[in-house]
Formats: sequence, C-alpha cells, structure tokens
Amino acid sequence: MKAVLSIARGMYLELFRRKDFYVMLICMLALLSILASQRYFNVEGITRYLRDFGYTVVMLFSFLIAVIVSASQIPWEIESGTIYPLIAKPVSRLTIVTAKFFGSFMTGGAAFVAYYAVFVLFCAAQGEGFSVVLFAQAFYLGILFIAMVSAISLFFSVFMTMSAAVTIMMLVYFFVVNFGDALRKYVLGSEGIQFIFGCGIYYLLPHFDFFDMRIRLTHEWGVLPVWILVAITAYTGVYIALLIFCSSALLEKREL
Amino acid sequence: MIRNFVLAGGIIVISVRIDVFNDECLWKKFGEDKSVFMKMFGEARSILGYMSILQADLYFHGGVGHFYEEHAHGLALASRDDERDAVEVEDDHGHPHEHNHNAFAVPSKGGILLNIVQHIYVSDHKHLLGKDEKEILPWFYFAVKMDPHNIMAYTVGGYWLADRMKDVDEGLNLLKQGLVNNPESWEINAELARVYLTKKHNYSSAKKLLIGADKLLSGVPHDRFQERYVLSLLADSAELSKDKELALNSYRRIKVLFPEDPNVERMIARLAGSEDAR
Amino acid sequence: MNEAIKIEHLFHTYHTGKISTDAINDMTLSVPKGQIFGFLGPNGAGKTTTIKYLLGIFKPKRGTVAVLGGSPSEVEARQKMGYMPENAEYYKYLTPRELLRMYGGVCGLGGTELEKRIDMLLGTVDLIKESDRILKTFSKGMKQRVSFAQSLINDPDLLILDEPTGGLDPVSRKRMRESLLALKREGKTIFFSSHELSEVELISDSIAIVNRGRLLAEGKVSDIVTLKGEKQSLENYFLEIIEEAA
Repeated sequence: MKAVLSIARGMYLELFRRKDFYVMLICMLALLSILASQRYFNVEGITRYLRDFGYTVVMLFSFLIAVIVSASQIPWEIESGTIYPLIAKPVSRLTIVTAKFFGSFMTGGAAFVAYYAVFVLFCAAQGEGFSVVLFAQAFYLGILFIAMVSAISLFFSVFMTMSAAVTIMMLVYFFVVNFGDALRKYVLGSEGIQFIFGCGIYYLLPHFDFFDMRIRLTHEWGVLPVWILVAITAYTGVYIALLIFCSSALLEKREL
Repeated sequence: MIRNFVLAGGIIVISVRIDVFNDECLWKKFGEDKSVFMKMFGEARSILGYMSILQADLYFHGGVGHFYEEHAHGLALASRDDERDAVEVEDDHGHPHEHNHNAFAVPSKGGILLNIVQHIYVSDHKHLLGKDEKEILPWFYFAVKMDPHNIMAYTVGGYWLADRMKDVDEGLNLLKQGLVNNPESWEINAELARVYLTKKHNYSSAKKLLIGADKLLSGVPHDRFQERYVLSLLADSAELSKDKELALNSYRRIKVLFPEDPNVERMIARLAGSEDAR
Repeated sequence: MNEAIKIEHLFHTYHTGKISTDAINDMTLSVPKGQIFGFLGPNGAGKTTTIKYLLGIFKPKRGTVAVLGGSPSEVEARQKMGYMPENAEYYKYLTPRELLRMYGGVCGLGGTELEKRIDMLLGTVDLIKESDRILKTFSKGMKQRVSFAQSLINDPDLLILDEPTGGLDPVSRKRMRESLLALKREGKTIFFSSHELSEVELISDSIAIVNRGRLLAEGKVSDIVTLKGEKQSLENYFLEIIEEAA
C-alpha cells in the first residue's frame, strides 16, 4: 500500500505544477462569469442553463485531464526510461499499475473537485434550484466517472501510444454516449445467439451514462434512490478491478 | 502562481465587459451580417439557431425529449415478460402511452445491467410551469443571435415573453427586432399584430401589420389554415378599430376557404346585420 | 552463495516481423560479491538486454539468471538491488527530494529514517542546495546524479549501473568513482556497463567483454590486458578483441 501511495502522490504533485489544470480553471471561470452575468430580455433568476453549461464544462475538463494524465503514464515511463528503475524496485507489475491508476484517479479527481467547487459556488450564488442532495449525488457520481475513465485510459495506454490511447478513449466515450441506447434496445429486442452476442458487447462496454446527472441536476428532477448509487458503485468497482488486473497482465507480457 | 491568478482575474473582468451580445459591442458596429461572430460561423449559424430552438423545447419538457421518453418506456416494457404492471396514461399533450409503475420489479431479460438504466434515466413527462417558464428564454436569445433569420425563434419567443412571462414590452421588442431582420416575414408581422391586438389593445397598429402580413402571405406558398389565422386577426383588429368593411371582407374570404364553418357565417351575419341596422 | 550474479547458457532473440536477431547467444557469466564488475561491448552487443534479464524485465526461456541467490523476476530478489538507467528523464515536475521520497516509499521506507537517508544521498551526490528545485530545471549531469541517488535509496547489496559517468564533468566523474569505491568497501557489488574504458580500467576488479550476444572475454582487468604477454591499455585490448571477433 505504501508503494502505491508513494507513486500516486508523485503523480498528484505534478498536476498542480502543470499549466493544464490552471488553463482549464481559468476558462471555466471566464465562461461561468459570462453566463452568470447575462440577463436575457431583462428577466432575472434564470439558472438552469448555467447549471447545464457549468456541469457539462466541469465534466468535460475533468474528463480531459483524467484521460490525458492516465493515458500518458505507461507510454511516457517507457519512452523516458523511468519504467526500468521502477521495475527494478521490489514492486510487482500489479502494484505499479494499481499505483498509476490511483495517481491518475487522484489527479483527475482533484481537478474535478476544484472545478466542481467553482461550479457549486456559482449555482449556490444564483440561489434558485439548488438542491444539496442532488449536487452531492452528482459529485459522487462524477468522482466514480473519473475513476472509470482513468482506469480505461490506463488500460489502453499499456499496449498503445499515448495519442492512440487518448483517441480510442474519446471514440469509446462518443460511441457509448450516443449509441449506447440503440445497443440496449437492440439487445432487449433480440433473441438467441444475437442476444448473447449483444449482451456480451453491452456488458463489456463502459457505461458512462450511469454517471451523467446533467438532466436531473439542470431540470430539478428527483434524487436517485440509494440502491442505484450502491449498484453503480459496485459496477464501477468491479469494472475497474478487472481492468487493473488485465492491465498488469498485459504489462507483464509486454516487451519493454 | 500569483501571476496566473492575476491573469485569470484580468480575463474574467475583460470577458464580462466584452459581451458578444451587447449592443455596444465593437463587432455589432459593423452590422449584423458583417459581425465577426457571423463570419466565424457562416452558414452553420442557421443550424446553431435551429438547435437552440430544439433546446428550448427540451428545456420546456424538463430536459427529456419526446423520443427518449417513448423509447425509455418502450424499453421498460420490452424488458418484462409480464405487462400486468403497465398502465396506460395520457401525457400533458393528450398523447396516450404506457407507464410502468412497478419500478422495482426484478428484470426478466438481460440481467440487471441492461435494465438499471431505466431507473437512472429520467423518462417522465412534464412541462415548465409558473416561474420556471423563464428558463427557456436564453435559448430564444441564442437562437436569434445565432441566426437573425430564424422566424420561429422570434414568433415563439415573442409569444413566450408577451403571454407566458407577461412582459409585453420585451415581447414587442423581440418581434420588432425580428421584423427589422426579416421584413418579408408574414409570420412575424402577424405575431406582432397579435400582441398589439390582444395585449396592448392597439388596434390600428395591429390592423396595419395584418394588412401587410396578408399581402406577404399571398406572395408565398401557404395553406388555408395560415390564411385563416391572418384573416381572423385582421377581422378582429378591423372590427375593433371600427373598420367594419375590412372586417366583413376578411370574414367573407375566410368563408371561401372554410365554407363548412358555421361560426364564420354567424360573424358575417352579425356584422352585416349591424351595418344594415345603421 | 558467493556470486551476486550468475547467468548460465542464456539465449535471447528479438523478433521484428520476419527478422530475428540474436541479442544474447549462449552467455555464461558470474559476478562475485563485493566486486566492481565492468560489462563492456560495442553498441548492439547485448549489454542492455542482459541488464533487462538482471532486472527481471525478461524471463529466461533458455538458460538461467540468478541475482543475489534468487530469480530477479521475484519481488523479494529485487529488495536489495538498485538500478541506475542510462539517460533517464525523471518526472519533470518533482524535486529530487520528492523523487527520492517516492522511490523510498516504493521500497517500503518511510518516516524519519527515509528523510535521513534522502539527506545523506543528496549530500553524497552534492545536490543538497538543489533538493527543492524541480527536475525540469536540471542539467544532464545533475539528472545523472539524481539517478545515482535513487539507485541507492534502499541501500542495495547489488548495484546495476548503465553508463554511470555519462554526461558528467571530470570533477563529477571523480566523485562518482570515489562513491563506487566507497560502496565496494562497504561490501556492495557493483555491475556497470560503460563506454568510458579509462574509467572502467581505474575502478573495476573484473570485466566482461561481449559482442553480438557472445561473451568474448571475462576475468580480472590485470589478467586480461596482459594476456598476450605484454601489458596494453584496456582500450587497445578491447578494439583488438572486437576486430578479431568480427
């Protein structure tokens, strides 16, 4: 555990010394400031579009940081030669991959927390439509989303270059968000071998839609039941654990 | 670090001041069609304008599109063998659809993962009501700024401001702005006239605009329902501004379009009778 | 067991598409404990591949590799091993102190014991003043010294160094030599590869020369360079043996 935390801490420290985090924070502040200062047709108290834009920007920026940080870990270590002194230490590949995951997750998570805090401040200042429970749920699911994204990007980076891993991650995200519904409908409407095959693909794909609270948050729909949060947490935990095991197995086989 | 925060502060202050949509903005001085914003997006702005209108509709329905709502309910049924729990209900538009109340039933097909999403996604139907109705206004604002030739943005936006938000002056401002950008639009002329007629009780202005709308309508392909709409308003505004002849002519034209409508006959008889009485 | 490193009949072939290259061809090598052992060869001789076996990156399919009595692919065997790579670009945004703290944590160290060790190592490599500067601002020589420090973080019994004096100025090279000799006096075993033959001749007890995966010579420096009856420099001997093998 000490080894995992040591490596993760090193990665986490790097986030605050890079410019990316601050550039995105400034962009977010600028965007939310512009949106919050707007008055449309002299009507005051319009809040939903700010929550909509703000939440989208928070998730997008955190997603980008998580993907870029995770996808760069293993390829960069190999390219720079720092993988060798790491492997030479008394740690297993599984420990290294786990540490890289935790580091990426902490980094992406820290960025998400910072951006989300700004977003919450802006929404709370507006006053209307601010539900503490909903925002807390959205925060929790956002953290799980970052963990999922970090694990998947790290997995891809074990056997791809950084740019390929980032691209594939973006494509997977795009596909799941836009076609996940259609796939679900197809699977539920199919039978026999088609159903089995469809189920297999469906269960393999990461379900980013589980973590999307945009509509609930923006339009003040009710909170999610607790059992759903537990189910999503369990799903995320199992998925990440499987990915970490697969990543370490692949790293073991990879010719460095 | 300090330098970064000073830079951030500067950007925020400047960005709030340089408001793309502000009338005092530099870019606006070059004219609507020649603004930097327009040049940047080109023809894509009409798509952006249309998407803004769709967003307004989505916001009106609490973020849940019609497609998804039916889709989600369909999924809820497809995942169950037993449809006993399905209940037919009507939504706010009067459309019947089946709603499954038994949200916690064990799914029968595909396992929990395939069915959990129907508990996560919002699929109910609702409309914005009361003070929440203002939430769709930004999308009308964006729609007309993206595409000054988006007629629907002006007419629906104008209706929303004047009738739902009870801000008649803002509604009129929007419609007038629409008319400046689209002088050939019969829809905006008609909607502007309607607001004058029903909210401002300015019958003469309404009548003038409707005469114009009628002329414009005759020069474009249209159906009888659109023509009837304009003529009805024209008849009302003419009658209220004591121009009975114009009112009668309008009703007679409606009768030609809808000979089966007894109401039109009654209106003609009432007006003709009162004229005869004079 | 008196050997820190024992390699027996090791083979390794790289496959790139349809082309196969023998990187190591029936290598048998042993390094006694407590010695400084120079591992020499031209570029592409198989030195780095051999080092990868010693680090446990490759697992032998033909032959055996033992490090400090155990298989290097096992975590326990690497407990008392340190490695200094050639030209490693460490994490740019960490300071040397943070980097050593990270590697120390990986080795299971922590607390005041680790901090004392970090201070001692930074003093050894003369980077105390720069200990809180980020590595991005370091010169090549300074990075090399950081690299040496991290290889010693867990007080290893076996040190594997790849070009330890590469990029160092003469003063730093002298310090490095002195450090290695001091480590030898503590009973550590040092296995290093280098192209700086004059450095190798100065500090090594034994050497091995490889080319195209084959071991061409192995033994004490003094014995090898007087093999043909007359004493010559290591460099001349090296060039001669490589040409003969070609």
